[in-house]
Amino acid sequence: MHEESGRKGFMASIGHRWREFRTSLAPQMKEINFTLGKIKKSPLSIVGIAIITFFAVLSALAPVLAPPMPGYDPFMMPQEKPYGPIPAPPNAVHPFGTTPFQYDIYYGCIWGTITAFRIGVFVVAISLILGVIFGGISAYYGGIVDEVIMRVTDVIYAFPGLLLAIALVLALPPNFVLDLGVWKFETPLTSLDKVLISFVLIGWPSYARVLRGEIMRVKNEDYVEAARAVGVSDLRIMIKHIFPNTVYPILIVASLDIGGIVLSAAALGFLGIGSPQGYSDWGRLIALSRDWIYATPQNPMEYWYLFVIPGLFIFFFVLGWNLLGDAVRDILDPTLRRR
Amino acid sequence: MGLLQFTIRRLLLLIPVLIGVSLLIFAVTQMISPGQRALLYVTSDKQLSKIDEIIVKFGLDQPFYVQYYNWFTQVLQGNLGLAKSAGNQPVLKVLLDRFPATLELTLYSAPPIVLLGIYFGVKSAVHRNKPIDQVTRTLAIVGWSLPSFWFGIVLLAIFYGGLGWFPPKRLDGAAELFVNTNVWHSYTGLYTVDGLLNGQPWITVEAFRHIILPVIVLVTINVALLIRVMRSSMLESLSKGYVVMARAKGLRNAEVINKHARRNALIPVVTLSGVLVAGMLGGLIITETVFAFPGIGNFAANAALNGPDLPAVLGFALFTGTIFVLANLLVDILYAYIDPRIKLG
Repeated sequence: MHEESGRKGFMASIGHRWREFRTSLAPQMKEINFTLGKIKKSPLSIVGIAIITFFAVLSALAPVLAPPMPGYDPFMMPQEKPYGPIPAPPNAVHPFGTTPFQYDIYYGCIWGTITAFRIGVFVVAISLILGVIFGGISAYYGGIVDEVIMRVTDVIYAFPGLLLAIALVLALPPNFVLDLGVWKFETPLTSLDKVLISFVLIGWPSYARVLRGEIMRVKNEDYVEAARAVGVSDLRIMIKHIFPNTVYPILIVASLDIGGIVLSAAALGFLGIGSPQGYSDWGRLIALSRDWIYATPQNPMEYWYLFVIPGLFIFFFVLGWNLLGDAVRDILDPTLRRR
Repeated sequence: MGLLQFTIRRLLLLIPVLIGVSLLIFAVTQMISPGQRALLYVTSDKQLSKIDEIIVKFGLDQPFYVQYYNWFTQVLQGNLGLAKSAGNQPVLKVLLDRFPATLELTLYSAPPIVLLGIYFGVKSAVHRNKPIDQVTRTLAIVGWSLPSFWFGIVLLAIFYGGLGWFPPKRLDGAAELFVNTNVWHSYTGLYTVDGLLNGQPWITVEAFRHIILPVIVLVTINVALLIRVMRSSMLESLSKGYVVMARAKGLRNAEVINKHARRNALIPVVTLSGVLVAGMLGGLIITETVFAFPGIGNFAANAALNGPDLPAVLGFALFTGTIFVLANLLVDILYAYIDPRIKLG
């Protein structure tokens, strides 16, 4: 009996707390619903979402659409024997044709979708986390810590990003070793890992700076002052007041970033840096065909399929993210939001 | 604080940033073997066979800070080493030789980017959510999503491979031979201008034929960013009190937009244009590579891919870092000048 009532009390208290929690979230829920409504009304963002969904389905179905050969790395494009240097136009066996040295373009395009997702999502996620950590530290502690972090971002900004990426990819060792004496961590780095690492190293400063700027702005707003005046704790101010008001700009940067990162990765691939030859990577696929651009004067577009098809994959993938990012930006931008 | 003090202060602040840039590059290069790094100190062809002696002589197996000091003192004397990817010429010479090509490309690309960006940005904002706004934004996003190297390849395939109108490189054939003769005087380093100054308009025509495709690529890809910034800045400006006031005074719509709203909305665009031009002057690695355009970006790409050619990569990074920081300083000064609200300091 006693236990029973105790449990009842516990459940009631949970129910009460849950209701309290929901009421406290009501303004946020209203904002989220408002945002979703806006997204639904924006045709460009719908197109963007549709394109991204299409690519997501494509990468999920990759093993079905382009079955890898058993026992081989699925990201390596199969090669048709003999490995002749002359490309072949689209045919029944190779719907998009083959590159010089007979890599199957269709296979590379399909599996390249997964590569693109991996690059874009991984780089943005890790850069975002690092940016939030360093931007937060910078804004919170201020003074010398802030100065040091901001000068580091200055230096990375002052550097031509693509060249830094190239230099890093070329200079990073084949093995990553972290030796802390008691604990040793070692992992081999593939050339694609190196691309991801260098993009993260170049990417985090923009997040750190945006977040820092936002926190600085919000820190002195009246509502924060008011919360402080009534004795709300620092942590609570951070979570309840500062975080919700600074998170949008950084999400905008992130949503606009994915497309750009995939473009840069493709550019590196085109220069022949990053993934190894034969890897399912759209940029690398185009690089394979660099010598076949002009074909013959009689039939100048004879080898169009070599660069047009993978190029369209890159273009639409990036377009999808940029359409979504642009719409999200307009919707979340507080100065334009309620107009 | 006056403009002069502001400039001096910023120039002084430049030094730590440049030291940081060089430290960063140097740190990256430390991951590469001493043998390759020895090339940094090679100043003539004959020394190439004595790499081992050089490693010992310059202490390339010594601690980081010693090596950095050694390298830095060389840089201060203007010695950036030899570029083996450019026939073992001094890096600084190659950079200075090639810079006009990049400058020329920037000079023809930047004005259309900025002017088209402002024009369509204002149009878009004034007609917000009307068809013209939707079309402009969509086209801008499309341009922005194009992979520059791929767009360049497609243009080359059509207009060079197919039609033979616009070839790659900066000049070729007779024109290239001509500018390497003694008759040719390089006044500005820009072929389109020097052609006229030398009384050889056909060189100018040739130079334009070569430069047009890379300019199209750069404009298509970069104009989107300016449209976007101009549009949102203009939207904000249009909602301000002074615009409402101007309308209330009964001014004509064109006057309200051009005199009151647009002028104030231009400020962020000035900053962005500065950053853009600075970035372009720092070398257009991909565009120059696709079009085999012999600017500093193309040089950097070759340097990075051949070896890598460390002295060249380091020299390029220092060069572009300097340009970038200086250009940003210029923008800040311009900014303070056009917007009196900004306090110098």
